[in-house]
Amino acid sequence: MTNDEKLKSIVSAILGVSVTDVHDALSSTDADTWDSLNHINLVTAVEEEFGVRFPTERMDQMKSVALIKAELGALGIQFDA
Amino acid sequence: MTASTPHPPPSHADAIRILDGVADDPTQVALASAYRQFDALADAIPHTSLRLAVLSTFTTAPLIPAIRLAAIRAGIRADVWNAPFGQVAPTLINPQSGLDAFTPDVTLVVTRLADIVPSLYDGAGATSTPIAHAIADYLNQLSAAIGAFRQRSQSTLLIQNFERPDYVVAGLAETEAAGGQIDLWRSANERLGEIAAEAGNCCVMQYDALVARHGASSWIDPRTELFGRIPVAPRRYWDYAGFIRRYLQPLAGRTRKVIVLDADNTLWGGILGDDGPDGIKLGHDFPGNAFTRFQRRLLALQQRGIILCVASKNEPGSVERVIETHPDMVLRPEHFASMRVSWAPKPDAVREIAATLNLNTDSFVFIDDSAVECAMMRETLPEVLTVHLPDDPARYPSVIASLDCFDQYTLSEEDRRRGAMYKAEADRQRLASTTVDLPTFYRGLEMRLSIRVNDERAVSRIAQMTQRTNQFNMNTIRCTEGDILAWMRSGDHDVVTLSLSDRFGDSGVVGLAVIRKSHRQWTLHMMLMSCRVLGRTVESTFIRWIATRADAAGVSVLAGAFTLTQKNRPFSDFYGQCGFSPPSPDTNDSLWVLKVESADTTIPDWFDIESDAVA
Repeated sequence: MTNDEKLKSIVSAILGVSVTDVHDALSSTDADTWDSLNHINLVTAVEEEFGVRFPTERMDQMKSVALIKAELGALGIQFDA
Repeated sequence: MTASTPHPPPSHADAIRILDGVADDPTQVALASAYRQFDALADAIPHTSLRLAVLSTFTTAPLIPAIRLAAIRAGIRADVWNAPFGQVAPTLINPQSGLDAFTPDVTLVVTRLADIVPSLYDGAGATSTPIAHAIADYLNQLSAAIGAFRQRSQSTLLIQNFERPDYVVAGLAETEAAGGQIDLWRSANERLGEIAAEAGNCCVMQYDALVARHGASSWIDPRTELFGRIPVAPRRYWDYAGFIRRYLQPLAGRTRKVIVLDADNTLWGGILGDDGPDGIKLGHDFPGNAFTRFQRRLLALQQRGIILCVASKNEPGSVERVIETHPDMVLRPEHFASMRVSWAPKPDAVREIAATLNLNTDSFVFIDDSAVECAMMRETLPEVLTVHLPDDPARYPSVIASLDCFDQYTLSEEDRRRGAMYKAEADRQRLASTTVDLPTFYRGLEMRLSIRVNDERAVSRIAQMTQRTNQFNMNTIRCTEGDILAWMRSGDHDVVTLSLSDRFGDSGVVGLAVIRKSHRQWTLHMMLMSCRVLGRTVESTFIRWIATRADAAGVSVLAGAFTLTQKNRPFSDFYGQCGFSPPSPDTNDSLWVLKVESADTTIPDWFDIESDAVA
């Protein structure tokens, strides 16, 4: 499984959306189930599955799939272009 | 939009497997995925429903999925109503708050003193009077609110107590003197006890003990606490859920009453049939002392009213004798209500015990070190709580400490009368009338046999097996490596080894046959197999495989030698069961005889067999 597929399956599992609906632009403003509560669950799940830990102040900066990828990138997790 | 093929709904056993998978590794993804299937899981598991209201000073919403999943695992379907966050007293006081309309069976009041009086937990001004007053005011207000609710509702109340302050500013100088942080914390918890007693049908939940069990530093993740106001670290959600479930179980009548125990590598280290009563590990030194400690904890449960039983695959009488006479046994025959020692499948033994005790199997716990036995029990009797012991006996005692399924309240009779009984939509299954579907179970084990002929690399293991195997040993001939090598290199003997691996792991070489070959007859001069792999048709399949080779070699008779000993008596009819004719009583021969051309040599489809033998 690529990192891209892995992230998509995590977002799908936590937010309850189909994997095919998960794209980089998906964000807390347009996804119904991406509320503040699920945001914490999502960030925690990404940490658990990728084995990383985000600095706490970054948590509020990760409110879209693209932004999560950027934060993971900053911790050395590569995504194919 | 992707079309999805409809999944068949999970069976009871499937649902248990899914929930136990979550319990083994409760990640956020695992919890979310399982929770998505909650209704299907609840439909699959016979359950009692419970209406649970949760009132809290912190964000409990992330804990609800874990609580509902943990509860349904124990046969409790919790339907949850969450009060608006931080509105505990108003919700209790106001009849229009929604709480009354929900008609809760159980009302959880989960407040944190850390939310009410943060300075107590940050050490600031701990000895100042305003802090003590703030605590007292809060608790008085809570008491009044609970009293007001109690006038209107008979719902059972569960009040979570306060965790011990982890940061004690006085440090070593903290003497627990009046007015200090620890004193204030302890008094607050005592006051909760008084509030509970006044309210009636109300219990204080020992949250401080839960946090202590896990350690404050691992219990709270300061990040989620400060960012999300969730005072439980995500990795601990499942533990919190288990804590709540523990209090719900006795209310829902879901307390377990019976423990059925395996014997070998459960009550003692080693295999009784192979090691003998003097060879099993039980006593003062490791690993024996792990088993004695394990037994002591079981004894403690028995003394408080839990029923202990044994289900062991061993020669009848052998296990009972050890329990009666071994000097280091802690548990003795009088501690066991029933002992089933036989070669029958363990689910059958559990059903028989249930019938004898006149108790439902859904009040049973089954403890065994064997992954295969546990798998069979989970699939056949999913309502039994099956506990697979860890590999290391040192961890056995802690398994007993964390079972958390035997709790009872002692509410006074008066409270019982006052408290209304929750609605019990008891949907329990009848005692199962289905028999174990063995072929399906065997296929599920994914067994692979690997058979080698005259494999000199295995000589050492082979010699060891001949020394140690006593029960399934048709001849009890002890060999040296030299003996084995000589046979392998002679032209008229074959030394055949069988290795088994399955879904749970690789057991290595577990079967041995030494065949003496002549032109018209092959004789099984030695035939032995490790006890661990018996009862799954491996032994009969081994014989069939050998018979097939005999047939291919043009041999008309396969004979089996058998010498009776104390230990192999249970298997004295093994060759008979494989279709051999018994030795004629007239002759001096002790050979069982199989006519190869008419023998049934079909290999069951649940084996994948790989061998190096030339055809």
